[in-house]
This record gives sequence, C-alpha cells and structure tokens, in this order.
Amino acid sequence: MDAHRSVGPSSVKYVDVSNSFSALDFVDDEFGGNQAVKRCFSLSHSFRGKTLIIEDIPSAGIIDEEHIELLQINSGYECKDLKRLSFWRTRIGSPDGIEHQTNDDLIGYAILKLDHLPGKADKWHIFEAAFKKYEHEHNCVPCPGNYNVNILDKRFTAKAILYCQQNGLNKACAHVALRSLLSRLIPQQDISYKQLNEIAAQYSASPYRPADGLNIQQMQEVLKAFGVKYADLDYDKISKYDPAIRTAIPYQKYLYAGIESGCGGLLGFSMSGPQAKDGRHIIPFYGHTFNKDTWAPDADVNYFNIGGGVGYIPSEVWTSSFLGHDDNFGPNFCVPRLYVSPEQVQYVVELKRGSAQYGGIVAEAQALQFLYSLNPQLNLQNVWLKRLQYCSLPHVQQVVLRAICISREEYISHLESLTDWDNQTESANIIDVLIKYLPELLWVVEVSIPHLFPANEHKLGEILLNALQARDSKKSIDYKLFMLARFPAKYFLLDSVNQHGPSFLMIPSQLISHTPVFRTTQ
Amino acid sequence: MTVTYSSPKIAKEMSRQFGSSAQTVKVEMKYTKEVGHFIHRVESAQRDTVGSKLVFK
Repeated sequence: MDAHRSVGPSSVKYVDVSNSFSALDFVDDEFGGNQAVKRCFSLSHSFRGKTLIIEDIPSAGIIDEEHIELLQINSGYECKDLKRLSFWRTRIGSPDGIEHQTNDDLIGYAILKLDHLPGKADKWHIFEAAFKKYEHEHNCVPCPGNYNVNILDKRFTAKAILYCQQNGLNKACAHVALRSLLSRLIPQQDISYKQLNEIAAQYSASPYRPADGLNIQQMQEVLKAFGVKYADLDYDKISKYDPAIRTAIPYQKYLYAGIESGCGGLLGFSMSGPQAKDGRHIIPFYGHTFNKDTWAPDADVNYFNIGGGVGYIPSEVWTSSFLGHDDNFGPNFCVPRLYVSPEQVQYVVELKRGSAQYGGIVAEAQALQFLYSLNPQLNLQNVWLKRLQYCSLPHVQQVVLRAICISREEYISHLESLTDWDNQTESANIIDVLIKYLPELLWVVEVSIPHLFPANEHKLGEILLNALQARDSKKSIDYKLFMLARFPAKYFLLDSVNQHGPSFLMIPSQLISHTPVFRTTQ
Repeated sequence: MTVTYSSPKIAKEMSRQFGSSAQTVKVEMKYTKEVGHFIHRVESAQRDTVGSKLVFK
C-alpha cells in the first residue's frame, strides 16, 4: 500500500525555510492559504526546519484509485496538481544532498492534491501527511505507525500517526479520521477511500454520497470489515433516556483507554464558536501529554465515582491534553482533556487491541472490585502494602488505576524487566508459570497511589484480566475474567468459587516494593 | 483444540510449586451491586449504540 508514497518525482524544488522565510506568505501564494498546510509549516518550524523539498509526483496506488472514484462521482473531475512536500532539519540544496540524510533528519512529509471541478474554484487538500511527535518525554504517542516514503528516490521512514484531510467530494471528516487510525492497526498498513466507501455504501438507506459523511453504523461496519474491535457510545441517543450518561461515563475514559493501548480513539462532537457550521465533526486521537505537577488529581472533580460512593483516581487525570488531528486545521494538536465540554460530545469510540472483548472502562471497574475486596488480606508488615491498604479502605478510596490492553509477551517481558525500589526482581519460577498459563491478550490494570504515580511513574502492582474472555453480562461478577493480582510481596490467584464466595491462593512475590509502570513502545 | 485460560489453573500450578508458602484465603466480594450496576450501564449504552444513524461530516 506504499505505491503512492514511493513514486519518483518529475521535478524538484528546494526551498530554504530558515531565517526570513514566511510560511504564511508561501502557503497563501502556492497552496490557496490552506490552514492545514500552514500547520505543517508550523510543525517544521517547531523542529527548527531548514529545508523544504517540493517534488511534483505522478499519481499511483490509492491516489489513482481515488481519481477513478472521483470521476465516477463527477465526470468533470481532474487532479490538476500533485506535490510531495518534505521538511528537513538540515540544509539540502541538490539531489546529492539527500544521500546524507537519515530518518532523524526528516521532520515529516505531506502529499498535496489540487482538485478541479468544472465551475468551481480549484482547491488544495492534504491527501496525507506524517509528522514526528514532539520529542518531549511527557508527550506520549504509544505505538506510532511507520510510513515508508521515497524522497528523491531514497526511502525514508516517518514514525508518526497519519494525518488526512477531507475534500468534500469522496471523503468527509469521518472517512479521514478512520483512515488515520486504521492505517497503523491493520496488516495491510493502509486503506483506500474506495474500500471505505464501498463498505459504507452497503449501509446507506438513501443513495450514498460520501461528501455527506458517515453515520455511526457505517463507521462501525468499516471497523468490523477491517477486523478492528471497538467500544463506542452514542451520547446523543443514550442521553434521551439516561440524561446523566455524559457525567456517569465520561468520554475521556474511552479515549484514554484506546490511546494507552496503542490504538487510539475517535471523538464526535457538535461544533461551537463563531465559525461553527451546523452539523457534527469527528476527529482522531492517538496520544496524550503527562503532567506530573497537575493540580487536578487533588481536586474532588477528578475522583471517578462509579456510583454508590465507590470510586478511584483514574490515571488520566494527569493527562493535560489529548494529542490528535483535526482535518480542518492540521496534524498533531494538543486538545486539552477537559476542553470539549461533555454537552458537546455526541459520540466516542475506543479502538481496542486485537480481539479484546471489552473496553478499558469495564476493565477498570472490574479490577477495582477485586482490589477493594482483597483489601483485608493485604499484609500490614510490608510498608507498601500498608499504604495500599489504607488508600483502598472504604472511607479513603484514593487508589490510582491505569488500564492498558497488552499481549502476554509484553506483560511477561515487562515483569521480567522490573526491578523494585529495593533492587529485587521477580522469581523465574513465577514467570515460567505465567508464560504457560496466561491468555494471549490481557487487560493490565495498574494500581498505584497518589504521589507515587505522578512523581515516580511507579506502581504497587497490577490486576490482570483475560481480555479475550467475553464478559457474561448476566453475572454480577464474572470470575472468568480474573487472572491474578500482584501487589508488593504477594500474588493473589483465584482458587475456587462456591456459594459462600471466592477463595484466593496467596503466594509470595520477590518484588516487595514499587516498580515502574508499563510503557508502551513510542 | 481451544485452550481455556483461568486463574484456578495458575493457582493449581503455583500451589504445586510453592507448597507450604502458598496460603488460601476466603474473600468477601465488596461493592457487587455498585460495580455490577455500573458495568451494566456501560454495556447497555454500548449495545444501544449499535446501528445508530447519527452522521458526522
């Protein structure tokens, strides 16, 4: 699926974008003042970009497919120009110069199309772009995609999340948001709008017009067709019979669970502001910032109450912003976590890892119950267990939970790598058993306490749930989900369940204090 | 053959390996009603989202 990125140029231009270069003038003159293109130049500027290479390229691969589709929609369609822009940290002034460049020198690239329809003004849009994330350690983008792109016939890899822009013809915001996230999740590594529209057309009551956007059912069918599991919630519909749904089940929890598991999420909302049009917009999110000094976790507003006075502190309260794209304005924006008001939010999607059968919000609630139920068994001789026990007492409930969906191999590798505050590591015997008996996909709900989590990014253990086991909705507690709980100095395993309740087997752990949290590959 | 993974299987193997240092405890599950109600609310809302016709463009 890289053909459209691999084509060689028919002509090349080198532009010095350092010093007195004006990106705004340049984009106004060359690309019709496109806001998203201006954003690409801003990102280049943030990385102290020095050179812009502009290549005229022929269409290929999924861009060719798009042209055929556009001709079917409007026989007068013509792609009048196609350019590949690449932004560099280094000075490049000739074809020889590219030979010395590496992936690190490439800030990002964008493929721009100039669409022509008879009787309408020609319009530029970004077919796709991929820009590096900021290098700050607290700017977290789990599992970015690797996009191979040829610049002057030399292959480079941009490690990023694909950005795509709508053109109001064969793709709207929903199409580009889906392609943005799906391109890094599916084995084919990209999707074409033709594929996407063919799926959506099957679920259209009236004649299907891609420019009119996608409804929730069509988005669900696209995800299903590509084998991507999801958990989603239509706030607009549910709020009609459950008016408190937006506060009871906050949209941020869906986005955060999808992001932390390396899959991302979609947020659909109604617009506000002076330039807002009628209708709803949807954008993809794929990362978050982490601010360990944030005041919010100490405020009651960030305590998540699941109902009946039972609650905890979700780790996302240390997230200042979600990282996402807005196809109207460009790639790699920070959207403050609390910026989009719950009343504006109409729809949220958490993309799930692999074949996960339930989402992060259910995993956290289920883990919370096991943690609070095991509280009386925590051994007070260990100072960290004593702290955990206090924080999980019914009148305190100040535990921090972080749910991530990862593979058994990732968890085992994480457990093997852990060295606690007392320089202890886990016993090889325990790891050998877990390799053999854990399912392939796990919800790992990390357990920490205030100060330890934000200051050290450390935890006191985790509760493992079988992500591949569908929850039995008829049961108030589905014990089949529970795999184990690990806390300082001990593991809890479910031994048996009878009419009097469960029995747990306690075995010793060599990890006796706190350890680092799991970090997804960035 | 489908392999079923369960905590009791791990417990059995760990019990074999750890012998006398393993200990079984009865646990009273707390907040069953509250957690059950919350999860039911989430699952019910997600079920009702299936096939929604709300459009985004």
